[in-house]
Amino acid sequence: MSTATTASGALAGAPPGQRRGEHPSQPARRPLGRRAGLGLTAAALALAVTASLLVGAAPLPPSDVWAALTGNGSQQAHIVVWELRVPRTLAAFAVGLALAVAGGVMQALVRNPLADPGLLGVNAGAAFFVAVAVALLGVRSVHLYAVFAFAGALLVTVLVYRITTATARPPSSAQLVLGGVAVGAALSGITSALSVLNPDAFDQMRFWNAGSLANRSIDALVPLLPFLVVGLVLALLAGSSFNALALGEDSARALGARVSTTRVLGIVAITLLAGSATAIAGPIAFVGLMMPHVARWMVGPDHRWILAYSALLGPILVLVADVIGRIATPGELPVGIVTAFLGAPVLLVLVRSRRGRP
Amino acid sequence: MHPVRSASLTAVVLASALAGCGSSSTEPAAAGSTSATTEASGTRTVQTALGPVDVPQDPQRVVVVQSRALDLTTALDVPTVGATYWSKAVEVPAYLADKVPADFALVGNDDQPDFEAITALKPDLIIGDQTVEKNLATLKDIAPVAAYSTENAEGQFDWRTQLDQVAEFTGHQEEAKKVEADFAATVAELDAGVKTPGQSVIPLRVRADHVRWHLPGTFIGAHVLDSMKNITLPEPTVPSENGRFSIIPAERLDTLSADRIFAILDSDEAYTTLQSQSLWQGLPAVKNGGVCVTKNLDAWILGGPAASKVVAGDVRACLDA
Repeated sequence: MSTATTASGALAGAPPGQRRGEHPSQPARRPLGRRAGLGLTAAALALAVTASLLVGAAPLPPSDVWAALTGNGSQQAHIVVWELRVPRTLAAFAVGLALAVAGGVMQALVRNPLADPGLLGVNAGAAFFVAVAVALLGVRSVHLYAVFAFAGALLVTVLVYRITTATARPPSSAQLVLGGVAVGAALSGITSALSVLNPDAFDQMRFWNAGSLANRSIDALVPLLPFLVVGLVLALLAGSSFNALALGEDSARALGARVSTTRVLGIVAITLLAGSATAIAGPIAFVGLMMPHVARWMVGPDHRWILAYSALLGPILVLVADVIGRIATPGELPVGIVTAFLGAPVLLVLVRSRRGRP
Repeated sequence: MHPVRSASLTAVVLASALAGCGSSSTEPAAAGSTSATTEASGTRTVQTALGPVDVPQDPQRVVVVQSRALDLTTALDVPTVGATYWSKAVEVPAYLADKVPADFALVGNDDQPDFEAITALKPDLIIGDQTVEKNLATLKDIAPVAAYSTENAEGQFDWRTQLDQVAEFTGHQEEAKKVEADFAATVAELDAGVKTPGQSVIPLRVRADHVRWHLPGTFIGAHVLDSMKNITLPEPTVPSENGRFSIIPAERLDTLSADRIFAILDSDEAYTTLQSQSLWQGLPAVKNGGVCVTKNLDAWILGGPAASKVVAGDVRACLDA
């Protein structure tokens, strides 16, 4: 056990974002209170949602969009707004929220700010199942891709957990991550092999791999929402336990925290959240890694606040990325590509802004 | 090097344009002037898109390293023992399957030819388009490499121009003339069958997650639609990013307003998804039964003489409907 803890400690280093003299239970002194900040973030999110409803390939003036939203307006505007932009906005919202919260949970679990939900093998599992569906079963429907992606994300995370619990009981977070990375690498290899052997599958997977929100209907979204909501509730429930976990697994245990239960809750939450997000849009980079960072930068190390802020910041990034993707090129840029473009500079700004701080 | 190459390219294009215009009896001047026969070795020199190359008088084991070229060599009855495959399928298109010899083999894909497999086939001539240049150093050690230019004098992708060049490389010019005459006759027959002259037609590739409106003057449809005079091919209002097709966003499906749409399906599921969209359902062609569905994706995309027969069959069935 001590070996496991040491490994975990070596991987994790200092608890993410925790600054000298600062403790999760102490409210940080900030120019804006956390609640006011949350209000401002919600307002920014509202702006992003509005932009997502107003901007698109169809040249509709805002008045037409409003008319369509209120049940008036032309039939074409009604179709564009209600059948395309509203579902797409909901999908972006759900995906952003799920990935950012899953990332926050992941970083709390492994006590490493470089962690993202993909470390448990979620993305690799989803991609592997989609590749099998496309290459071996001849599936060619975006809706079915979602089913396979979700099943893959779920099953592979369970597999990773089973493998690591079989070798270490209970496994440390570091062992879980190692297991996830190993299984993920193996599956990615098979996915690549399937793609190379079946060029048509490669052609189809190209678009799924980029991560896209185009043509996402409400029908495809609704079945995944319950999983997403359950994942979100679990993550928020475990929020306060993550604060204890941030002190190290042994210290957390000494403080009376249920480390194993927290970890299982966290893994289930990550799987449900990241699994449904990947099922909706394919793998989308940077949201799960970056948004918890931004949240931590805004509210300090208390994980309850980090998760709450992540739940608002994630959708902002995905919505803005999707809106930019719609107008950047005539034929749309997949959202997964834009989040990476947007994400990297924001991360660099964050790094710079933290330089020289105590 | 470059001036020479561009000059020879111009020569090839000129020669092809002349041949395509039907200068019947005489050999194209440019190609004729550069062709030199060496009786002793059984080779002659031809102008290719990548400069002059010594090729066999009568090649017996040709390998093509561009999947589109298989339709060209088989149409000319050139013995073709190997070909690369395109990005959609590791197989010879069904309409060409009976035209390749028993010992025919696939030799990698267009982007990554399998050099060992090509060597094993012991080819006496390798044919590709101008993109073969990136593999030229390796391929020319295996056999002489003759590269054709894909574009006609107007700068458009045209398999007839390519056919003329391949005919020149292999000495099968007579067959090329016959193939082109057949094609012209087929197009004339299709044109005569157009009940409403001037109707607009959109070739639309239906993929799982988006649709592509293919531009006129590109590879789509084996040049059949482009050659017909009694139909019009509108340009998409959504700009194209690559000069070959425009990806039409779901919000702009209403711009597919033509009398007829050729829905070229990647899969049935992809079409079902498209059909579920209200903007698609509201299109004039959809409401008036003007959508013609084809699953002959390879023929529509790869083009060539045999592919054009498949496409012509689709067009005939559509216009008769």
